Amino acid sequence: MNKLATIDLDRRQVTVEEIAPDLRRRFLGGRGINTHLLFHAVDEHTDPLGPGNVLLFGTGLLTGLPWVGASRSSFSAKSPETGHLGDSAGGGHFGAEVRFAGFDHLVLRNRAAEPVYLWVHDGQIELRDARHLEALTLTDTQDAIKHELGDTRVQVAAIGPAGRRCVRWACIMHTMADAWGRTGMGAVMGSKNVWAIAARGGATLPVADPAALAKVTRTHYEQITRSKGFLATSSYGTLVRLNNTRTQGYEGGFNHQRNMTELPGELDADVFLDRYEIAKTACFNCPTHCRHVHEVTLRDGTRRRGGGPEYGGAGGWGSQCGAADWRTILEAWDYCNDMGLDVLSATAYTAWLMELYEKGVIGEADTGGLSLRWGDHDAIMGVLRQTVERRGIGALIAEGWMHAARAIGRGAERFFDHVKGLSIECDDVRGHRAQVLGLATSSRGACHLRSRYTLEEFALPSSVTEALIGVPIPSDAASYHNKEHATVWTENVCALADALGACKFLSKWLSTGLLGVDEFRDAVEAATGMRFTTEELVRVGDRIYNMERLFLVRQGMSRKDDAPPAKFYEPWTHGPRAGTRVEREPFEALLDRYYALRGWDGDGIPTPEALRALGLEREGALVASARGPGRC
Amino acid sequence: MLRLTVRKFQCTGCRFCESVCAAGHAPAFSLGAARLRISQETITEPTFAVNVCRQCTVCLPLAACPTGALTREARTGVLRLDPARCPAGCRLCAEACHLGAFHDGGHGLILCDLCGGDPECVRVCYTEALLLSEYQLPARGPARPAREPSPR
Amino acid sequence: MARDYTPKHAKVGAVGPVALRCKACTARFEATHPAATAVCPGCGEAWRIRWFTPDSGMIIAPLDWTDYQARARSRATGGSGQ
Repeated sequence: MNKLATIDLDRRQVTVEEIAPDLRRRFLGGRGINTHLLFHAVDEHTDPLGPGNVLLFGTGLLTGLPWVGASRSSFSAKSPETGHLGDSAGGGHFGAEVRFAGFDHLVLRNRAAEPVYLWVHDGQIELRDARHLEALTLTDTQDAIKHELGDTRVQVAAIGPAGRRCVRWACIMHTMADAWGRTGMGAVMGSKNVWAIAARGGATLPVADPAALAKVTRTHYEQITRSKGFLATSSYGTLVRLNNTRTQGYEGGFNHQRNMTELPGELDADVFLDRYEIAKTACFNCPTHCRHVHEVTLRDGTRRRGGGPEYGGAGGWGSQCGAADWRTILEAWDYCNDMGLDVLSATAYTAWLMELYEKGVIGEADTGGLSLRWGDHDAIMGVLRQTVERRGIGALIAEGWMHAARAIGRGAERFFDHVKGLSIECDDVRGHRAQVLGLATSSRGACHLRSRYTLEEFALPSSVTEALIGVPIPSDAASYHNKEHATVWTENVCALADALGACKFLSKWLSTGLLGVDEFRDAVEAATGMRFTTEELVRVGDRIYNMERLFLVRQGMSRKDDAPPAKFYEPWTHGPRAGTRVEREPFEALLDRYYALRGWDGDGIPTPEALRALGLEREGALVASARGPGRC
Repeated sequence: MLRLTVRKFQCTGCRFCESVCAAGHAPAFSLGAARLRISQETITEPTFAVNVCRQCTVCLPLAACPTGALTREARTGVLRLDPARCPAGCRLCAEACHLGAFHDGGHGLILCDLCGGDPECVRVCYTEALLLSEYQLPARGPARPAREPSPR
Repeated sequence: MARDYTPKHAKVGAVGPVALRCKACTARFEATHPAATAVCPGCGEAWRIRWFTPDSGMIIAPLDWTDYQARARSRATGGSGQ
């Protein structure tokens, strides 16, 4: 318990140390401790796919404990897709099992000489040969490892063929559809020749006050299961967003050229439940069971089963690529899960290529013969297959969109919708000002899971938001007023949840009736004995976020990179709110206010005063010296 | 008498039942102290095995136990495993049980004891894959045992 | 129609109603296999039922999310759906 293991893959050595109480108090666990370790382990010159990168795995402070939804964990590294902060949180049962195996954090250094998988069990870590897993899909990989180790309750996180071949946006996966999806953590794992991590154990986890934790858990369970947000996610998972975006005019389609696609009505969560879902599964200790299991008959007549899909895939292939039919979406989704490709990047890259094809920037000569027409099933599957096989257009995009854009030239870069190199999700939120700000400032690039103020979509009265956030946030999504408060609140709460191992779908990030920082505070105290005031806990989120900002600043980022995608400055073309766009002046003023609220200067650099208040002076000094003399 | 009913196809594999069972039965938290186990054969099989005692009227392990460690309580009819009378490594009960209800608790075998009549697992099973039967359903709310079990 | 995943061997004669719990108001009501939908007598919301066996059926979602959300919004004070 409370153990951090460093695995030197080159020398096949494992060293174990205790996690210092001070680190726990300042960063808690999960993404929090990961970000501190990552900042100090790499620098602005580290090659993300080289042996100098580290792959960090962190369980949340509360992961594996008998608290509702205590399931999450994070993989972090320098990102091979974006070149800066890589970090991804995932759920399922893997994080809990690593804790039961006796470890809280893992640090993977250097590179194994031959493909291996880590076998983490009962306080030990072994490296086992993984070469026989080479051709296996992700689910077969996990089953093969469980069979080999002789225990069906072993939990496995693994990469598939995409990660093994270091496709720069490959992901790490677990069960049928749990993923550490974004920023290419699967490619880092592949670059280290680690093809999976298997965990199993029966450790006793210390609980400071078991009776108090049982009471807190019961209270939180009642609170969650009565909430309207819970009703939506327990029924539809993330697919509820498919319906919401399509009926409320922010669907996003055809590579964000339009805000509404007017594609046929099959793209609907109820249709999916009716025709394709056969079961629901859940992450550790979570009553929401938001994960779907589906069965679909593919075009060639075979019937296959898979986990998911999530909104990112449904909206991504459905609306952004124009394939509004579930069979195509599910086939593409299942293929990405088999191969270990991030669905958000897959859909963004495909939609991008389709727009390039539409505009004549690329043709069949560039695409290995594919005709990338909107909605075309063969085009969608072809792009994915070529990526894994590294041929045709896939050879370019496997190296990331920036490489592909440079190779294609002809202004291809202008059509890719991203912030700091990470694509935006499929919905079109230019009419939601706090959400636009969040995309622009998010610390791993455009990220709805770090920075999206979801509540902006629900027209909450300002009395409600004032009680939640401390200042009244206008119920009108199109207003810029006070939205900096909403985004800062979101970013701090999400960082906190990721450090605790708590699922954001059980939090006020999603719905006002769910758990907030007060509830987190109660769970932390009962579980660990650590006492925080609500403000102190929020400050931990703030500290994590600032540490991540310093990582970006060290990479040379500043205000110039805190910009929404260029398309957002153009007006919506459809629906009752046609004409909506991001206006530059109010957005820049909003950004100024955001920086002021965070204690950053006008260029988006954390000031020494702000860093001192968070205890990050040392990191600030390191970044200042990296950036050169005369710059703070 | 009271017994757990398992509707296994409604189980989503969240294992919250294991967590609260383990937390409720041992002062230090280890999932190995749970008296029920949720597992799946393969990743792509979406249904879960729920291995827990269901208080069968005809209990083969009861007949198989050589030491009297396994008994049926006179008043409630609930099966009870006394660890003090259970020799290490015996496992005749576990092998006789067709439901896989006996689990290795780290210091000998453990068995569901229905938490004295108000099982923790039933409280947290949102999909009601676990139910307490021989009960009156209240007009509202989750499954709860009746004050008196109805005569059978 | 919600799909019926009852294994063939389980389809042996009629089985009695199962107890369901409304996701919106927690009221109890009954439904009998193979009913694909059921309406809560407490709050009037319509729910989609999934059957695994004739005696194992559960509510998985509203019948139609857009309708459900519109009604929930008009019920809540201030017109908010969340």
